[in-house]
Amino acid sequence: MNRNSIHTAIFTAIWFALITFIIVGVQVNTIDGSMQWHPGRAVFIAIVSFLLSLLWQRVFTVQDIDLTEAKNARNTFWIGYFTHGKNIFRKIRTVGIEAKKKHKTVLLLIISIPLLFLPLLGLYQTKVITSVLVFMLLALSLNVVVGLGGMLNLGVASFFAVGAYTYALLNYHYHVGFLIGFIAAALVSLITGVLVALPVIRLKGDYLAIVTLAFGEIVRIVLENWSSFTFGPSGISNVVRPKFFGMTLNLQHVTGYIYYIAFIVVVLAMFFINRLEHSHYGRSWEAIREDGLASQAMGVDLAKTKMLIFAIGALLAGVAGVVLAISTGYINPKSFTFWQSIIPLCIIVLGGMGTMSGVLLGAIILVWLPEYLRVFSDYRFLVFGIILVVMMIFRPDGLIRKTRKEYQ
Amino acid sequence: MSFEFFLKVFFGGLTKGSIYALIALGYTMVYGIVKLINFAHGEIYMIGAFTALILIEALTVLNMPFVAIIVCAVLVAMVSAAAYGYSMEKIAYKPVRSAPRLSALISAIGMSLFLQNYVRLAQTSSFLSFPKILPTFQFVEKVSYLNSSQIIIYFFTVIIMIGLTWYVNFTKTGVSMRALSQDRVMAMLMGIKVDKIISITFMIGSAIAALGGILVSAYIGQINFYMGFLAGIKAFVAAVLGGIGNLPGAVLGSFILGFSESFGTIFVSSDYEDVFAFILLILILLFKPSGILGASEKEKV
Repeated sequence: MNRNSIHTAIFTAIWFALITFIIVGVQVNTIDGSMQWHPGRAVFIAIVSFLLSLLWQRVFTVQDIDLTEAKNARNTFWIGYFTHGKNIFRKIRTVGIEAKKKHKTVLLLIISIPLLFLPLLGLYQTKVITSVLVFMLLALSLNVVVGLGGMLNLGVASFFAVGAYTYALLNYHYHVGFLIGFIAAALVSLITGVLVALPVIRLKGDYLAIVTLAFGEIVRIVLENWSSFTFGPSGISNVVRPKFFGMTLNLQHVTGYIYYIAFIVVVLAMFFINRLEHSHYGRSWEAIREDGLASQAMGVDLAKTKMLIFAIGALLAGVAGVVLAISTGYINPKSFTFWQSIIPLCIIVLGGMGTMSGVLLGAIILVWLPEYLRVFSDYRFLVFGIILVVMMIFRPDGLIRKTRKEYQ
Repeated sequence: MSFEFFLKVFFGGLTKGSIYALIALGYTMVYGIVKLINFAHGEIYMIGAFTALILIEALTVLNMPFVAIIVCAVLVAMVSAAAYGYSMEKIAYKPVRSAPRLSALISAIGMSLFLQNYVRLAQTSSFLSFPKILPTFQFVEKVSYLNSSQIIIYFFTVIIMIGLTWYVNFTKTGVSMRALSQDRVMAMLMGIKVDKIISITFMIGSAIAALGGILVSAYIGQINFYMGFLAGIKAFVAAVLGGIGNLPGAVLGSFILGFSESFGTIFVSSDYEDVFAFILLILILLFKPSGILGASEKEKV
């Protein structure tokens, strides 16, 4: 920690205090013309940016420091040991929790056994975990498209909405039961996925992301405005809940039952994706993710493969929609905004793209924890934003690093 | 439909187009140089408007003359938006410049999310009314299909367009920008300071976006932390429409988008106003992925 870096940090602190002062330090209310001053907030920002600046400089200089230099520094001055010797930041960026097969099985067992008996904990816990499972499914869907297929899909909420609305509307207009509704919703979202994929698979990278985002917004706006069919912003209430072999369950039992359905669906989805990933389809996904042109030259049908990826992603998101519809019993367009596409993205970015355990970890951190940290619920999306940026800078691979399968 | 009504819709579309142009210019400049969709650009536009609102309220208390307040507020808002743009680039985009494109895009989305919620938490999540700062001209008020605010918006758009064209084509920095967008490594070898040019690009784009934000808020009369999201996306659509990375293209795309929205609401349905932009985007990308004025990129193998 030399003088230079402290100077930079002080400058950064003043800079951020200054530029954020107008927005943060003064709060206006144009309705009654009142104004509140918050000078304390500016001081807080200055202190935080001072500390973060020191940290930031360390992270970026530590990598470039030669090891011998670090050794000398350690001998001469204890601060040198502090700054150069403990190369903790390099570790942050390089050390990976590498998911090994043995660990994975043990981990899954540890997680899943208590989950089997979860409904005993009560209604609230069961509902919370069900919503975590819904987002896990969404993240799994995105994991196929983004993590395995390498196509950034920002419209996963649209397939989510298609699944949920197909189920709810079939039920409302035609009184279709759970099982048929479930299958129909899955099929309809699969078909939507293919239909969306048809035009967009020719696009690359950023353009693909924007078009999927546009599609997500179109679906939401149509749902909001097509009042005669989708009931507009008020949504559909009293979505039918599944019966247990023809028996109608009371609230507590049906919550548990839906939880088990969600649980089984997630497990099946994971199994399904895992098998696909290690089939020849999975290998072609990996090939087109790394280099589309080269894989095409080697005989991979680019269009077909991309369409399959999109269709599987849409199918999973649609199923997640059905689970959401039955677990809340009420859906409206507000449940399918852009943020519902962003949360799964955050989950896979944090957890580790393309890894199954990453999805689990990410969903637990980003969906399950906030339920118990209600005090901070206002800060949730602020933190999500920070997570996305910080992860991209320091650990683009996510917490759990994907290990490549080696073929002998 | 009477001719009067047609003119009203026409000028409405022109206004929308001008606003989109002010945002799309920044988008397209940044994209041309760093090949990054600056998702947070719409947020800068929102922050510019908020800064101006706060300054106007604060300075009114100090009893300054009205014109001085507005000039001061607009200038400070533009400078502060430029500062936000600069810091944003340094924090979120510079470290991922050499990373895959997907990383940069996700980082940009994160920045957008952060800035949006930063304003929501620091200010408010409800709609605020924005003071009427645009002057009214007597000679325009007699015309039924046009109002003074629109005239001012056109005026600023034209000024910015001319200024930017001059800047990019005839100044040294502008030439460096163009060089950078053609070939970054070569530009670096020719002694162009890449970091500096990128920072300047971000600052100019942000300042223009802030001006756009202030004009829109004064025109519509209200402001909200969420206003930047949709505006940003639509401006991006406009930039893609005209060929991203191309300044005249961005303006052309913005006007096409403005007119199609304005006439679309009349002829189809006002409920689906926002859908037109997205459908247009999908169609354009399908049939001419490089946009109307954009040069098609050849893939190097």
